[in-house]
Amino acid sequence: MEITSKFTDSALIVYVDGDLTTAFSSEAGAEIDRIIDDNLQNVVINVENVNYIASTGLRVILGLGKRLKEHGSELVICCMNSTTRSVFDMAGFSKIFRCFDSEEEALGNF
Amino acid sequence: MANQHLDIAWLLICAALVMLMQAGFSCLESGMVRSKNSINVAAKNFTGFCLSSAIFWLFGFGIMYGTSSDGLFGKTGFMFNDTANSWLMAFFIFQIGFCAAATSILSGAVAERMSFSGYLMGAAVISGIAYPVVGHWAWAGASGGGSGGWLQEIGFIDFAGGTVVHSVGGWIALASILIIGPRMGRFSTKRIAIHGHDLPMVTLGVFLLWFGWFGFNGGSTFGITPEVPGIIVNTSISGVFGTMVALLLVWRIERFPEVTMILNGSLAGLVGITASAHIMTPQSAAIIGSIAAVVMYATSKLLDRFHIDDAVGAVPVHLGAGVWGTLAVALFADPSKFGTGLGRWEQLYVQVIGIGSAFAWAFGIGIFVLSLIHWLLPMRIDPRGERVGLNTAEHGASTEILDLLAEMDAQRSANDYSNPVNVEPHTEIGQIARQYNQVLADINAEQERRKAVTENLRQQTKSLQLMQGTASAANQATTIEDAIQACLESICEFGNWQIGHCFMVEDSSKELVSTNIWHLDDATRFSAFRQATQDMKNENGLGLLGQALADGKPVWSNDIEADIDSSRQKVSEQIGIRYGAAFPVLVGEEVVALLEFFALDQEALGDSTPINRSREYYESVLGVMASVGTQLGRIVERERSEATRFKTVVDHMPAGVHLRDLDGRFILVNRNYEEFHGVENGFAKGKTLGEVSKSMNVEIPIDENLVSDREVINNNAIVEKEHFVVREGELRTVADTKFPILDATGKVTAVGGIQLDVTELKQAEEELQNAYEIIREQKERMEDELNIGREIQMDMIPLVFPPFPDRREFSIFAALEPAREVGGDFYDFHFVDHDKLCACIGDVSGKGVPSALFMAMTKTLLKSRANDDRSIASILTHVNDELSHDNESSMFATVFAAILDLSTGELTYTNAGHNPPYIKRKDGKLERLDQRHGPVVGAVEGIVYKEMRLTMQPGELLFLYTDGVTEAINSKGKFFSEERLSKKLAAKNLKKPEAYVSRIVGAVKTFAGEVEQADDITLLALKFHGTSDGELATQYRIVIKNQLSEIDSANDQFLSFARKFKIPGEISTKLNIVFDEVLNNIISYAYNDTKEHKIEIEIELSSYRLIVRFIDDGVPFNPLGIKAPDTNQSLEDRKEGGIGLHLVRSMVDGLSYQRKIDKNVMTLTKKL
Repeated sequence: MEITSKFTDSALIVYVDGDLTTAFSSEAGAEIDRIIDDNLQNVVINVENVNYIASTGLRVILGLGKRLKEHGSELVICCMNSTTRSVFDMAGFSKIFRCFDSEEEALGNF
Repeated sequence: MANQHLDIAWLLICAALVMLMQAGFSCLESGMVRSKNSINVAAKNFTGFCLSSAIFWLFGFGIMYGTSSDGLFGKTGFMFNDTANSWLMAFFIFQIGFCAAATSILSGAVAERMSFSGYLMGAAVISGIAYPVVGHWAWAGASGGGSGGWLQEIGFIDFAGGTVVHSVGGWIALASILIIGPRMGRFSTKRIAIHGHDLPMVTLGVFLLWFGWFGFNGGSTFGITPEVPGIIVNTSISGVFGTMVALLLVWRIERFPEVTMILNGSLAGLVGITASAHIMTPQSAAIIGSIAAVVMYATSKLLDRFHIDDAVGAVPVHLGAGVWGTLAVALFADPSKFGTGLGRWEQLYVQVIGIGSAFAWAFGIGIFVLSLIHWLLPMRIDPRGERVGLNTAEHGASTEILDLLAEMDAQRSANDYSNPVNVEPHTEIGQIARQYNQVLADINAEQERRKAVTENLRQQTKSLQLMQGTASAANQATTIEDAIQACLESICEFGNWQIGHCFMVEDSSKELVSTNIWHLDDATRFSAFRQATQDMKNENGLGLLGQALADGKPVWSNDIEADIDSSRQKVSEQIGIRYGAAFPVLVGEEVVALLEFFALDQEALGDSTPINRSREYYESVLGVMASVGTQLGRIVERERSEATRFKTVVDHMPAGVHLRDLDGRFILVNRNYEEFHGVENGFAKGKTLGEVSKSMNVEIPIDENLVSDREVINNNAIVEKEHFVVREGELRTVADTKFPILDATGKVTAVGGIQLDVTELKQAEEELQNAYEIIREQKERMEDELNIGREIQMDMIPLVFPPFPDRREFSIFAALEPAREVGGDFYDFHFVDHDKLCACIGDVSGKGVPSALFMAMTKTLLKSRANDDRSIASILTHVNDELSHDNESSMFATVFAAILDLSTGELTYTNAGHNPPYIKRKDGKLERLDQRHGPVVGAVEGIVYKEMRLTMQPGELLFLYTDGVTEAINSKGKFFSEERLSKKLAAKNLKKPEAYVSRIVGAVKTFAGEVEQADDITLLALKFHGTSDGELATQYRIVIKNQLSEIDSANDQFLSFARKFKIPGEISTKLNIVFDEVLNNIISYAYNDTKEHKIEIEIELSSYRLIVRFIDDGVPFNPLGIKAPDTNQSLEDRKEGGIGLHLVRSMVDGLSYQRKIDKNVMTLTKKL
């Protein structure tokens, strides 16, 4: 489980490496909060290295999305595999977060 | 003062010149329109001039030159009469011309569709309001008395009326043509240029205008001053350059020097210089004239573009060039000469104000007042008037050419050219009319000649037609009577005979017999004559008839009184018969008929048309008649031979044929009829049935016969009856068919009959009927039996599929296609205990009810025995003993029975003389179970059957069938055969048992085609899927502690299990999420203490699904009670709860919960 990040002109990109399961979700959430700190700009979560996301992971994403929205920013997701994509669809998250196939596309859409 | 007289003289000359412009306008405008409107335009010009002069005198002059009211309008000098001031009188008459000129501009623009009255109202608006007011603004001071108008005061320069006269006239013209719209067809889809009818006249008009313009501009100094020559030079130069530029433009653009455009160019030049002729150099005048032409041309195109129809181009010329000329004052003149003290650009500004105010007033007044008038009293002529031209419509005026055209039109519409048209002497139109009359006369003469020739030709062809007509009537007529009738009609028509009649010559006596073949022009009038003819007796030697009969040649008489036979002499005199003719119809030399014709005296006929009955006439006609006679003779000959042939045929017919007339008298009987009834040959003819029956040796039902005759006659229908006759002491049945004989009009003229002795036939028929009755009864009995058999059979076998919907370890399907006659096939399946399914198939020997009953017995025994006995061999042994004991019928059944253990896949089976079934293995290979374990059941008592075992793997199929399948026969006599069956079974795309069964039934039916199914076709397919609870499933167990960190360990264990058993990655990933969610739920919420608990996870894997059970000892919790979250909510509204269970539910195929004693058991199923 590893969280890295990169600031670009238009957004903060957060790279998640590992599965967002019960064991790691809260840890991942805390780490992302630490990176963002008070800098509530647009955020792209790159889940290229995530096999699956459980409901605990979804809660972290939902919380962060709400917080950014309150500050006029947006959270988007990119590089999902078919399993994470289907979890997003089942949970109805693909209706509330924009999802992109690539990081460039995500950045290009702010 | 001396100078003043000169000035007055000059002013009066100029006044005359300006008035001459009216003549110019008249010529120009009336030439520019079509001839049908020329008079109207001229009349408008002339009347308009007078009307505007009157108005101008009454108050126009006062408004224009009277004492000014704030520079807006004058208010004195109405009905001008200042006779004391001779210069002012001259000035007044000069000014009248100006007012009239402004008015005349309108008449051209609106030409060809504005009504005369409408125009006069327009003229009144110009001369009474529009022109005097603008005139006042610009020129009020010119009369010498009082202050100037407001435009004059601010320095507006308009020397001779470029704005005051031309623009004002132009604005009103524009307003008018906008209101009344374009001329008909001018801007219709196909744009039609409407050309003027007299361009030389237009040219003359322009010359006159130009000439008048010398006074118009030259007089505007109001005296003979040194400037006058220069003004006239400028005027001319501008007109000349306007002409040249217009010529160049139109030549270049339109590709030909279009005359009206050139003439309008000159007028534009003249208008252009009008505002500034007094202060321009000739060079400037040339430029102004040139540009005026360009402006005119452009304006004219602009109007076309907006579909504004100006009939003569008044708006481009007077408004376009007028506006341009007014601007040009400031642009081209030397500012020192302005005399207004303004610089060039200030002057230009003032000129623009002048133009604008003239527009506002004249166009405003024009649109407002004329629209109002148009609304009250339409100023546009009605479309009809517009079409015929305003000359005729408005003034009743006409022109010679129109008169001539009207006359010619009348001739054409009446299609009568017999009378010449009226010739107006000493005119060109008169010349045309004379020529037209000449041509008419020639044509009429030619028509007469042709008529005569045609008449002649008609006469000649008529006799030819008669001959041809006879020939064709002869060929087409069905009877000789028809042919003669047709000839009679044609000859009567051809020779104007009112009466025509035909006599036949009796074969034997050679006497003339009157016939019904007549032509009578008037049946009532000639009825007496007809009667007299029919009453004639023995007149063979007398009159025309006698002569024709004796000579065998046509005869005629023009004095029939002398030549007719005595018995008709009187009647023919009474009705006025004068002419007569007759000709014979010859067969060889023999006269077979005579045709006679009579015509009335002209007087008696009451007809004055002369009819030629000269000797020459008769000679030509008689030639034709002779020819017709020969033709008819040929028909008679043909008829006779046909009659002979017909009689031969009828006589030889193997049935009695007879023909009776409406009175019931025999016309014809054939030999067969005579022989059957024992009547002598020819005896019956002319006698009734009653009369003939007396001589018959057969008793016949006369009344019955007469009744059916009536029926035929009354209903015009065919009547078929059978009746009995007694012949030679024997009762015989006669089939009698009677039918109507119709004449050409469809009337019944006779009754035909055909009789057949059907006695033997009837007997045979009866016997056949009895035999058929017996067969039918037997057949019904058989059918009943068949039905009973089939009912028994179908009642015995299970027909509902799937039979055990809750059992997933296998699927089964079977079908029995019964043959028409029951073959005794059966199949069955039932559970003998929870895991053991018994299936069997069988075929009873023999057919029908007995075999159905035997089948029922076999099936029932098998089933009841199977419930107590687990060995299939033992079951069959037992059933065989039961059936063979006291089996008197010697029936037997082939049976294959098997028991499948669903928990192991073990199949135990016994084949008692049945067709070898197949096992389809997992790899697709077919295995034929060809061992027999004993003979058929029911045949020999005490047989001990053996059994065999094999193991079915999940996905393998057992296929049972009867010989109805393999022994189905096609039209070539070939069997469906086991070979075909095994090929079909091996097909790779078959999965479900239903597919196997239906595919093979289909194949058998296709194979058999039309051939009737001889034996029952029975098939059963059983597919084993593997066990649910049995040993075959792979089980795995994971136990973890109630700590979140343990979840990963559980997932890892599951993953290695999944990899080992090759569970697809996508499924194991989903199950990882499920594990995560469920375990998180249990660990986080199931325990209300802090003790350590165990959570068990049981995994059970079979070939088609995975079952996972989570067992915990936490507080009771039913996850199925949790509501799914609303996944359509927006980001703000989404709650965090419920997602986990929702994901679990979405990812598995089945989810159930049980509380077992003190444990929660949650079971998930996932299909593979």
